[in-house]
Amino acid sequence: MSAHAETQHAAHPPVAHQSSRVDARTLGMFLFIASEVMLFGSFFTAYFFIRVVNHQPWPPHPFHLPVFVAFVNTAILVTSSFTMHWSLQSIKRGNRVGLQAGLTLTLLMGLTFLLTQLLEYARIGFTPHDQAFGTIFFSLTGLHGAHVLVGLTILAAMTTRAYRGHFSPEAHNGVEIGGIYWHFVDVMWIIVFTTVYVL
Amino acid sequence: MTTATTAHDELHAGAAPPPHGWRRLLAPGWLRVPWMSALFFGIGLGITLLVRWAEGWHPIWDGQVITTIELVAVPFGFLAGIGGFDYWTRYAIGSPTQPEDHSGHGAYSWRDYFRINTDHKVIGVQYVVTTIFFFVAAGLLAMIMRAELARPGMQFVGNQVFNELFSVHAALMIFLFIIPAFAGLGNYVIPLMIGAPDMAFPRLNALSFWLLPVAGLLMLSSFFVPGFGCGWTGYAPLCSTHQELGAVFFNMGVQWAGASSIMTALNFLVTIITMRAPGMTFWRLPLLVWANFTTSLLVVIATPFIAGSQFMTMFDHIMHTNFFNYEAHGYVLGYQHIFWFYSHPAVYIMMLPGFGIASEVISTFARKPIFGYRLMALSLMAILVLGFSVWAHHMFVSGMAPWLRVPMMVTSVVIAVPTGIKVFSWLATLWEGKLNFSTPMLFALGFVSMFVIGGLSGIYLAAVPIDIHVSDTYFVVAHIHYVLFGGSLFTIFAGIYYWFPKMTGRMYDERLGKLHFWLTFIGFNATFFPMHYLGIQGMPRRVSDYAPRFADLNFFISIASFFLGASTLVFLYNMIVSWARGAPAPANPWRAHTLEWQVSSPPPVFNFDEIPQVVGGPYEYGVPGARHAVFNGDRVIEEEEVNV
Amino acid sequence: MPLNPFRSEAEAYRFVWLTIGYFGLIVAGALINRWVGLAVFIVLSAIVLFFYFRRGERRGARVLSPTRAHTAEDERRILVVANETVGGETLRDAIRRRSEGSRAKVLVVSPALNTPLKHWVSDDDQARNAAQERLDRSLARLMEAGIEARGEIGDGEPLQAIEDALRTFGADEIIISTHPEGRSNWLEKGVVSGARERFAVPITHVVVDLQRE
Repeated sequence: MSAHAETQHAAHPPVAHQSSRVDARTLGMFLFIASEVMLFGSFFTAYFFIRVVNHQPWPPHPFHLPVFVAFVNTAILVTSSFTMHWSLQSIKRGNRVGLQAGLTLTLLMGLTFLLTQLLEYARIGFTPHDQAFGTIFFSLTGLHGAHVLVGLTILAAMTTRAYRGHFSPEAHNGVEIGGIYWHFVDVMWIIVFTTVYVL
Repeated sequence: MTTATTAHDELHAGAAPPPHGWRRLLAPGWLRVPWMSALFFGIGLGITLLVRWAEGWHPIWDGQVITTIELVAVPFGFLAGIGGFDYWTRYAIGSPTQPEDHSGHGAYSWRDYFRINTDHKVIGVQYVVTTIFFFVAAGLLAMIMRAELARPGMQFVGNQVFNELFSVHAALMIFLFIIPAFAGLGNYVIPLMIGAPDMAFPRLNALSFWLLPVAGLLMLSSFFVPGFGCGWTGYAPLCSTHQELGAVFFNMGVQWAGASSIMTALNFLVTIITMRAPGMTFWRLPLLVWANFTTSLLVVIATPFIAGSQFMTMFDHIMHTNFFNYEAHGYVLGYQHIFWFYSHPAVYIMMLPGFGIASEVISTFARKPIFGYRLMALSLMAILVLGFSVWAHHMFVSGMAPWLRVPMMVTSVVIAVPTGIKVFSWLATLWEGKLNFSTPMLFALGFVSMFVIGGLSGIYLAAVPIDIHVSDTYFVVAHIHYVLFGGSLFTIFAGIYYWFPKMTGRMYDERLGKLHFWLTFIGFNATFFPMHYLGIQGMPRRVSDYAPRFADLNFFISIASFFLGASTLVFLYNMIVSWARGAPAPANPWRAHTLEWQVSSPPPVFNFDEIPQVVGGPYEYGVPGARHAVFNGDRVIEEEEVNV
Repeated sequence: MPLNPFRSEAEAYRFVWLTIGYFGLIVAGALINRWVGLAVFIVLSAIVLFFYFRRGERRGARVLSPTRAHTAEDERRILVVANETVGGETLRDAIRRRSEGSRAKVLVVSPALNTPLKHWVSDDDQARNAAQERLDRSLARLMEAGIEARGEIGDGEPLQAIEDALRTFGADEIIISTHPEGRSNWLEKGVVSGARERFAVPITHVVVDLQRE
């Protein structure tokens, strides 16, 4: 049973009209990031309830947070945003080496961040079952870590493609859009770090 | 039935030959599903056991934890097997790009509906058929409940099973029927209405559909593990630390359905923003597109909150975290706030597309422009914004901060204003129109009246004093069914009948359609109207037994509900037989102006041979000289005769 | 659409540094004193919101050319857009001059101009009727002057009306007629300059001073 009429119709789709100056894929990534921000929002809401509404000192006794290590980790992640941006600028100017180096460095720094985070989890001295504080600490940082993992997957794909000769000054959407996601991961970390570790 | 097309053959002339023998197990499709699911099952199991062994978490083999992990791993395996990730995997590993031969696009036989297909029209049909299946399943659960409730005392099922019945009934209806049914209808119609050849992200579109059977299967399987009987609202701590494994099935099912919903919404938004035909400004969009646009914004912003709430309950259950554990300084009521922050906008997600459908149907069958088109669009946006400010009206009796109740009451009452604008607009559209009472119109009119009743009971519920009295009683059950059945479902039926000719190329049987409407309308009112009274008299909801004084009404309601259930059979019969053997449908049986009616029924595989140019509004019925769109530059499209 | 503040990776990257600055300043303030931190937060947020809402949507020029497939070689299609000034002598001369010497098809578009309130409640019956009357008068006066023209009522927005006519009529040139500067609503709203930016056809602006005529 055919779902399409007898065709003397085109064998290829007509080119859709672009009704907005915004690139579709960039817009899609932005909306996806909006939904991810809201997901973090739900966990920040829980954080708000646990810390503010329950009037808890932060961190509550007897927990301690490794603020300095986290700060160094923050610096690493911020630097990785810089290298990400650098790699995109490179390919826009046709500098393939810059593209590959930038992506590789970003990937390595992201991995360092994640591994450091995991190490800290092992050494931090409390678990997610230790009161609501433990729960919200591990879930906020853990949720962020999951997003770092997704970001690293995207970075790995971009790096692979970069080394296999894809991307050019005219066609580098993959780097651009992946870069936006990575910057989102960075921004989210700054917010998580500030609220959980610092404030 | 049309024969195989030459264009189809051309399309596939350049494609690689289909694989033979054992290679077919590697090609995306159902042959690959079993072994890939098993593979991912194994990987999930392996990682879980490895991590638990390395960390020294005993028992290493924990059935609950393993099940939870597998509820993520196996669906991924299924999706990978059926081909949802093939293209992206090739992209990610940097394989040379293959030119798009459109072989994954369009339906040329029934088989094309059972695989990953990038054609939004195919996906739309897949959605609608799948959601109807879950509608029937959830309806059967309701029939069992009504059988139990027909008489006082327990006759058929025990308390726990009854609890599971109403929990799964609601979960299926909300997440596997209403929300995706609108997504499916929108999926089919929106690209056609805006003059686009497909959605912005066709592969994402295809993937978003296949998440639905996964979610539905999870919800239904919850019956076979010790099920979840805590209601679809899943309140902590009852539904976290005090429930059986079935609660995890619910938590996970919601995640998969929510992911599907968000992907579709993303697609809708990008498509509507970036792919409109030339000349189609936002103020010339059909109201169905406006409605889906606002709904998609709601979905993208709100759905992550239910994802979060379900993660938290699941973590409390499986990982023994303390989100909602009072003794460990968790905040119990936090669940309700986070949950309802999504679930209130969810009811608008379940209604706004229906408003769009009602506008389309009423305008077409009254042969009149929609009254106050701009305000109709603006009221959709107003409902979107206001919808985020009313969530705590579900929590008036929860023990939350008392000061929050009055502001929430005020906002809940205020949200009736934009909704009222819409109702009055529909009435004004009908006024002095040339009414054609075909089946879609009957359902649209039924929707307007039934939704007003549901809206009125909603206003009652918005008032805190009344809510305190009728909270968790059958009054609420009456309200939700008037707005969801009399509201959403009626518009889904209206939409299915309205676009049935376009989607299938055949006309449904009009007499059977009318019969379906009247049986449903009578059965629906007989079933749910008495529930208002039951609630005020004090019969609680979610109970498997009740005080003897409620017996007579319950008996009446149960009989009415069986009648209502039977009416669905008329609908199913009509749909199936008409699709197989109905009269061939013309391109524009309703003589409507919107773009989907300007192409054949069903449309060509790529929708348009040439993108139309929009030169006027979509509802200019009776306006001399007005045109919605032209094809071929200055050659005006052939209007199907007559001045209206 | 004002929804998307990020159109590129560069903007996202800039956002990273802005976020660092934003939070850094708040933390620094909070370290001094809780209330200082709160004050910094409020001030910074106000600044952010101010800049966000101030970014007006700059309409980029989307240059439209007409689509025409079926017209004869020597035919000129002239689109005339006028409101109250169609009666003006100056305009009729302009049309006559352009339509001489070739087979000219003239289309007069009368936008169904509406008051803002009625526009937003979609009440355009009165506007359409008024536009129809103006159109009938214009066509009659053009006929008196020996110009055969067709007429159409257009969208309430003059620029949109022109765009629609370009799609259906496919004009080779457009004549926009307005009142003089100072008395012209259209000139105030930048209809002529907007049309020149948006449409890839020659546009003649005719000023009709009905008072002097």
